[in-house]
Amino acid sequence: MPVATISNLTVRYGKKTAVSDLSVEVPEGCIGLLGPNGAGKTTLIKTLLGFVKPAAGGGNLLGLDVATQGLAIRQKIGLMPEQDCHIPGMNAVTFAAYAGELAGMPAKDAMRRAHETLEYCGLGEARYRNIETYSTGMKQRIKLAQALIHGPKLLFLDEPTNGLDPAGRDEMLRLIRDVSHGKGINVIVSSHLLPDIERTCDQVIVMRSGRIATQGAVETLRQTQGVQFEVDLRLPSPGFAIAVEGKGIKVLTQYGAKYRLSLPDGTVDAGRLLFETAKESGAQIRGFHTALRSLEDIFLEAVE
Amino acid sequence: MSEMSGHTPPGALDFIVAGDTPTAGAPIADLSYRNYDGPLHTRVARWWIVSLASLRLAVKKKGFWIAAAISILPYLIILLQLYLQSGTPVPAGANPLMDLTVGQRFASQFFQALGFQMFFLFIITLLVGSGVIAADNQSNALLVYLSKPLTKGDYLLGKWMGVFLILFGVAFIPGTILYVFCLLSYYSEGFLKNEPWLFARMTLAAATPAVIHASLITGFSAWSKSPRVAGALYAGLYFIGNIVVGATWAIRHRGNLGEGVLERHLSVEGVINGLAQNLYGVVQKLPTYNQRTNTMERLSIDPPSMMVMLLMAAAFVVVGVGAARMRIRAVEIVKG
Amino acid sequence: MTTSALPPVTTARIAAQPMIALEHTSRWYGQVIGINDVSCWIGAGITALLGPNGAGKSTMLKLITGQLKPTTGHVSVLGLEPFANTNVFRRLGYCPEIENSYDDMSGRDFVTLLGSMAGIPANRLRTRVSEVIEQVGMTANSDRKIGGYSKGMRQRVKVAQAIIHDPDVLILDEPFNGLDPLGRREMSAVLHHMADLGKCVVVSSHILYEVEQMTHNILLMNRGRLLAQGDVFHIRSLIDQHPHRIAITTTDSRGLARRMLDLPYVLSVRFDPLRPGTLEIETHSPELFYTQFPEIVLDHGFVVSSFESPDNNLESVFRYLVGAG
Repeated sequence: MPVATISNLTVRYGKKTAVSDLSVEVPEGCIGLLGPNGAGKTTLIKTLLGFVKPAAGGGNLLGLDVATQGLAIRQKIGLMPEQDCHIPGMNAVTFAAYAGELAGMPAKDAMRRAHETLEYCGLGEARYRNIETYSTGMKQRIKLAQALIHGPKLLFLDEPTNGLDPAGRDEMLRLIRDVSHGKGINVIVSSHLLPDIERTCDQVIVMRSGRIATQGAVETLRQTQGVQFEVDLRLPSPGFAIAVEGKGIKVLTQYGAKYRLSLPDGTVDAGRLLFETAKESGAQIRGFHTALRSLEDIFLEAVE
Repeated sequence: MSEMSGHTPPGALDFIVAGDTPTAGAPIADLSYRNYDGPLHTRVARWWIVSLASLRLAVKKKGFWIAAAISILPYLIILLQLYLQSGTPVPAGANPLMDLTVGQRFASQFFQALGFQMFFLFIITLLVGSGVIAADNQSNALLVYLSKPLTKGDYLLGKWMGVFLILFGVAFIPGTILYVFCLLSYYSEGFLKNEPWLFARMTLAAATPAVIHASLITGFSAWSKSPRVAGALYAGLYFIGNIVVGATWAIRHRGNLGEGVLERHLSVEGVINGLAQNLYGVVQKLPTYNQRTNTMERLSIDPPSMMVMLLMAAAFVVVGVGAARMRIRAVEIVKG
Repeated sequence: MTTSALPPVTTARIAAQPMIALEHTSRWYGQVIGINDVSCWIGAGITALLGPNGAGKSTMLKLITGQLKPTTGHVSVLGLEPFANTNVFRRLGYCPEIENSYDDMSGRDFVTLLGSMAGIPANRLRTRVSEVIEQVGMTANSDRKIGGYSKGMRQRVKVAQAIIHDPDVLILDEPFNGLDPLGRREMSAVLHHMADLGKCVVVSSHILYEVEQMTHNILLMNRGRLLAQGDVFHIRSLIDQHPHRIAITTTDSRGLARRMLDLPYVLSVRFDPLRPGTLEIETHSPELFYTQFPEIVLDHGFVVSSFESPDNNLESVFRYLVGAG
């Protein structure tokens, strides 16, 4: 059952048409929302959150109408905005509990959940400190915590790894993966960082110029036409390229010592084939694996 | 088990092994994320949660308590004056601060107390109100608020009420205490009989500065990213307003207190004062020197026109709240 | 056969006179250390400045761009001391991370203003501004006010003002912030173009996979100290505490494991219960392994569907040197 359905949506800001006749079904699970700037992602998110009065069409999210039941929708969802945001003058526990109360939780439940959620998000140690003293990584986590506190059925994460250093990004992605798998929460991640999406999301929706360019399961989208391999040699080797072509293998691209090859259909033992060819041509293979289309390629193909 | 010496109390492990304890099936607790399926509809209004948070923040400020404490002093002084006055009879007209007119005797005291409080109410407004929305602007707090089931109207009402309740409380609570004291002490002297509506008047008069200050400071605060700037601007409006109005009146009426009463009351402070005068029904009696007859006279000064005062107050409220509303409406939650 | 359209990854070419040089440079703020005794040379090409938050990257950049003076030691850019030195500023372009608030100006006006401040003569200014705006892909939007720009558009305009005077040294702090993948490709091409012209481009970024695609030459910092500098794969091979890991997927993983154990340079063989067909070996001598492995596979008929070194990349080098957490 889809988490949200948008039908023939048209949204105008003054004279500008942001999206026109857009229809999309958002499936359950962890979904990546991709698209170039100006593709209409923001408009789609605003519409799903119930902030927009459509010029035409409409939709529903978790069974609630996006045009008329905005407040009820916002009770069931959690939003982690892209920008830095917090309530001034509070420590983490107070802030998280306050967010819970604003969502309708009784004060006691909100306080209890605040502690639980802060611990889950890795802020256990710093929970009594004023948020204004937090580092970027901690600020991102508290944004996530305030989105989770009231037990939403759907989480919107807008550039969740913004400003995080590699360790922080790693932990945030791990959190996102954990919360979106097996906990009964649907997650929509909007990000320009495609490896982040690859790591956390099972499905993607790619938008372009106010429409859906492509949509589907990441695994399926990444399948290549035919059997493709990426081979890393120690040094670029023209001899190797010639030798493989002689065996019916096509060289699709070459980038330094990295080759992308298309093997004949029905190749059973790719390893043998590659090692033999390398031996014959005097090249040394340092690694090979099945090539999948990268999410970046999928994206670029969809939007160009 | 019970044969083992010392450490394990006999039967303790039996209890656990028997398998009927809460942790029997899973000795290691699962501390990962749990879903929340509890109630999500509070019985209180949504805006009240916002107000409560504002109030909590306000009472943490030391400055607030200091200003509030000082602003209560006039009530204590009035209490003392009334006590002394009722004990020893005073010739009529001797003490300009004491108005013994029936029907005005106590009202005038409450009015004076409020008058003394004005400055401190203004200070408290700055302390509590200048950051009420400005601090949120600085930290993008509205993104958090509006992602919850809270309308922009709820937010504004909550913030406004936060300031209003503080100011109202600072005027109303000591006023009530004074009222109860007077009721108990002067009932026999016609306290209730001569001034039946005094409690209602006191309540409305306490609400007046609260409503006007709350509306204006909320407007200023909403348009600023810095609490200090918002406070400074409002202070500027307040004081400059007083100076301009006062100077204009002085020039036009050459310091004659009997004239130009309305003109004197055209600033923010003036409007609050004027409304309070009308609510308490106070006619000021000031001793002046009459140059013609060469005697001291008592000049009766009526309060300024209620209509004009109300209109101006309404204008302040509409402008303040309207400005805040305009600014809040412009906030976008998700930016492209 | 098609050769990839992207330019080859640039490697460091240190000229006889490095374009940026730090010599025992330290800078502290009261008690807080910004950078601690850092010595390094940066030459032409793209160099990535990496490190966790608080590593000293911004201090480093401020020292190079002449906003700060070192507390001890020397900093030289193009042979001169950069602090408040207009001779250096004229040949240096800086694209900071923070948002400048020029919201009321149009993009074109902003670039024009900064171009004239950088000393471009008035008669050349207009053409140069248009050129540079075209390069960053902002021609369509250059006349709108910056206040209405998206994050990515602001980023492009910032880069435009940094390159307008054709600097020899270009310093960029998080240059891809807010750019979508298309924008990132375009920006990357601009930087590569500059590197190919012999400029020194220093990029500070947290986004390792973007850096990986741009350059192999890194400067890694942590807690104010310089942890490593140079080619990332060379650095990887020098990290002794973490022997090279190689993951092999095969139908007969146990059988292959037995063969691996016969090799004296294989330090360990591991299985992951979540990935049954895969075994992972550790070795200090990957060269020997790569030479012998194909023989073993072909001689014994193992069916190998993939093998690769999962930690021979920038992210692993970062993690190993900076330490977990």
